Amino acid sequence: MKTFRVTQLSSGFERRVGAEILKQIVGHVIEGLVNCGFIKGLKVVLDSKPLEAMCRRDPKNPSRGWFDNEARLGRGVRGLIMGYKVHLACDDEAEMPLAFIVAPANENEKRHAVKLLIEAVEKVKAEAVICDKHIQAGR
Amino acid sequence: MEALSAEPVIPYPSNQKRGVKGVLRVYKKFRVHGPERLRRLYRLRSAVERVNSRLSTVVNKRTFQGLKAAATQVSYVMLGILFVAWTAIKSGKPEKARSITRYV
Repeated sequence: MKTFRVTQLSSGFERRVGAEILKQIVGHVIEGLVNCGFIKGLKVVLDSKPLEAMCRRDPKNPSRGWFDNEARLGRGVRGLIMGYKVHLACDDEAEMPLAFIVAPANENEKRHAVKLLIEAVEKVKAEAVICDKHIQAGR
Repeated sequence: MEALSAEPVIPYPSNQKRGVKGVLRVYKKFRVHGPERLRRLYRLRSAVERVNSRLSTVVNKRTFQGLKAAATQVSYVMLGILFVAWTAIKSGKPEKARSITRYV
């Protein structure tokens, strides 16, 4: 019997399905949870989380990753990290995600905040949004 | 943000001036001082930190290369979190909806 490594299975699935279709599936599941009343979505909270990529800095360009060309240098929890950021919009009461965007770590939250909110508001009727104050700053 | 009736609550570090009234101030260990309404709103923000910690429990254990691979891995984790909640509700135990290891 032929056996497969986990990475072979997941990479084949990723090639066929892709990130966009996976996001649509996530959207369908969130709609199901909203319809059954678990996610009410009255208060939507925005925040971002750094995702560190397992690569070093490119010696020719220190703000980019060496083996991971799309990874960028950005602010992490303590200091700078090389990788990405997950921008999340989640429901306050249910503590469930409503929308998410993965972007390089050097991109600010402000750039994705409105898009995140629009995606979240498509699924729930939010009455209040809770986020960091710098999102509304002009700079 | 105004079109969606959004009001910023979390203060900038440079905005935490002593002597200015009506401003929310955050000190060490996330202790907040200021108007009661803003303090109650600030407490709601911790919900997203709990979602982040569930995300980091699983995501940091795998390596990925590229933005698409990172987005795919995050999608898998989100699906896992949501399916655990779905299963908990359908099996009649909504209190277990936020448990990571209950149905694994």
